[in-house]
Amino acid sequence: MNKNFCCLAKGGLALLVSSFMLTGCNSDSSTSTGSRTTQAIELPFALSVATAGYPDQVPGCGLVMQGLGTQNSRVTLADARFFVHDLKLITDKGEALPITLDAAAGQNKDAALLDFRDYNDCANVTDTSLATRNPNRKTSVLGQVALGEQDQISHIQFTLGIPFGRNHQDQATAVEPLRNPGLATGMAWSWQIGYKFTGLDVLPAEGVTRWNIHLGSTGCTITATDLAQGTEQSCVSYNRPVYTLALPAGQLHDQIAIELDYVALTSTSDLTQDLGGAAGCMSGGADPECTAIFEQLGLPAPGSEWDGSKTKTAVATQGVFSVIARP
Amino acid sequence: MMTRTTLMTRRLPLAASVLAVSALLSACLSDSQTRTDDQGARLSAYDWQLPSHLPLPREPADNPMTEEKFQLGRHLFYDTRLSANNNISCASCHHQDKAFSDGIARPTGTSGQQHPRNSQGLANVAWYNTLTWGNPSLSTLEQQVVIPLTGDDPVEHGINENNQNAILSAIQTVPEYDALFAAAFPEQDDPLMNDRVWDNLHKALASFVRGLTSYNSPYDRGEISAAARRGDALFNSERLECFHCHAGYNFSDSTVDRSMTSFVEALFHNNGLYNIDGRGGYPYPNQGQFELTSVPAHMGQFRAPSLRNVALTAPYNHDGSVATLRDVILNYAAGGREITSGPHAGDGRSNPFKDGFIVSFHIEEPEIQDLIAFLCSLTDTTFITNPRYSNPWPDENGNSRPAPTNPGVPEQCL
Repeated sequence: MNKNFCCLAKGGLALLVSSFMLTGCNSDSSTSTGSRTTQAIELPFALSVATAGYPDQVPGCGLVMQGLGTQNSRVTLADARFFVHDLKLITDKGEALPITLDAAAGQNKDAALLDFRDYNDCANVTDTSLATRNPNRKTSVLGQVALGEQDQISHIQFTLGIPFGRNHQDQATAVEPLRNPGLATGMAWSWQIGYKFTGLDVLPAEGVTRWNIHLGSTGCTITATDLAQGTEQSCVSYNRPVYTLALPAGQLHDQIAIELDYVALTSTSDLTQDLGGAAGCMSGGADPECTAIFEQLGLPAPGSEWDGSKTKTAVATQGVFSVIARP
Repeated sequence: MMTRTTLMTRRLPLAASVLAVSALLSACLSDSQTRTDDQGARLSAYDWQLPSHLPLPREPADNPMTEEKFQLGRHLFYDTRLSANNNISCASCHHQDKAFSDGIARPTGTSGQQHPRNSQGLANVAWYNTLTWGNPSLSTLEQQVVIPLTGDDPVEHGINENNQNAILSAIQTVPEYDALFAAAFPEQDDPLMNDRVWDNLHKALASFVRGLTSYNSPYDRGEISAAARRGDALFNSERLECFHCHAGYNFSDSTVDRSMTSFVEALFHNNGLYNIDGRGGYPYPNQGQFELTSVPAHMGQFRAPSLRNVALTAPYNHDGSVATLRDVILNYAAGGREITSGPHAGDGRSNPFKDGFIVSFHIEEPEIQDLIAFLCSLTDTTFITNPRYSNPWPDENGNSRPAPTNPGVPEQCL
């Protein structure tokens, strides 16, 4: 390893410095810890709507997806976006290697906005030959990670949503993709302030006309003034899950993608009805539709009170995110 | 039981600190005179035109008030280009002649979706601790204006990903906005075309609304009838207790101003309008601050609005379900509202989350009329006819609009 490259590489400079201290970048490469170089990493995400009966169906604006939910509903796509942050590669020795996010389209150093919609005005697309392509479609996260030859990556970790400190600030001047109006238009929580962590919305053909999955923090009373003052305020439910996914044996980190299985997410939900609260689940504690969704996501029950010192929670069991071979 | 306001020490807002320093410096340079050091509490780049006994409202450090921002915001407030279908401006639901409310229970947005809540009057919003009916997180007008513009539930102005660029272009090609934006944001290069344009637009709108001040009612001038004077005494009596929530110079306990330098808790109250499940429930989606906090005791708690111009802002309460001032008074006299049939049936009088001050009271008919006379004396005619707050755009024929005229005494005040 070229020690000079390690110490002079741009991007993730702070990470570099800490790696330097951890791994002795200025030492000779014959030490047992080895040395790490910062390298670019692209982490693709995938959105799956494949069912047993329709294994080839893919998400797309204007496409009818079949066999979803407990009633085997037919739905079309209205929105397909979610934020991720705090991505890490975990070595088989349990060391977490942070991925610093590049300043690139649809992401900044704090978070990335994945957008699976292929056309604009997704909910209203009927004839794709007349639709315009979505210029903000984004299915990969770009970043930098300090890796060494000695590092065996066993897991990949990420947090769904945006960090707490970015969730309660002025949206009109936020750095993209958090600016509203801007890339985050439609990802802001209407009158509740803050952002939706997920905008996974469909239009069912039977029953209710819209079924939304808007994950976000609830029970937050922090104001913009509080944030500016540094006043400590918290949320009742942060709803910010951390997923640590095992790589299949023999797979390298640059051969995998992270898949969100929308079929699994809605497998215990009835997409034809809404028994209370907002259309679908918008993280409301009293919303009956949220129980199944939260369980699939591996979150504590909707509206349940979290430890105020931890704005995110590690998920133990869940059925939605998995590692797949890179398509 | 009324909760005790929690006081926490807090630094002076930055703007006030800066102004305070300026005040002290200018005092040094003047000839010797006795001056009261108010720490710059009356210093502002904007001429508020308020009597000196009234405390000025807070101004955010990143959006100090100026006349130029006010005028730009005024143009934007009345501009239907700021909507998906070119049919909604802020003024669509905020009419000056109704103290900037709109006279109906719940308004409808650009796509025909009805809002779940009542459009509130905008007099003195600059003095509110929180904005909208029941949101403890919403502390600045700059944050609030984004909601009707871009909110999708309900859709109000309907600005979204698919139309925001076209709407912005429409604004940017209006000749008047060139000079207005440049004057409002002189420190920026091309504030109408740079990447801060949306933020500039929000700040201007916030500045206009912040400048809507109303402190010139007959009550303020001490020119009220004997009946209104009796009503004033009733309002402030321990029998009626109105003053507890509708407190102070702005008749709302959600009032803050620049003299308040410590933390002021945001207050919300349940006044027993609903009890749909017998356990205190309010109908979704109007559950008050509970919607934000998830605290069970916050169910049905809403901000006590200012009663200034209240005779003009019918119908009343968070969903406009109370038609007249008389009905409001009768609800409080009963200690809440019982709904005997329909989907929202329930006895709000026994709502377990009802504010402790609402215990019902006895009131005679002449007293009801006196109370109404008092509330009617809070109507500020200069506010609703002030040309500064009116539509600055020429009418369809290209002519300047005449100054707003007095709509006359509302029927419930006769």
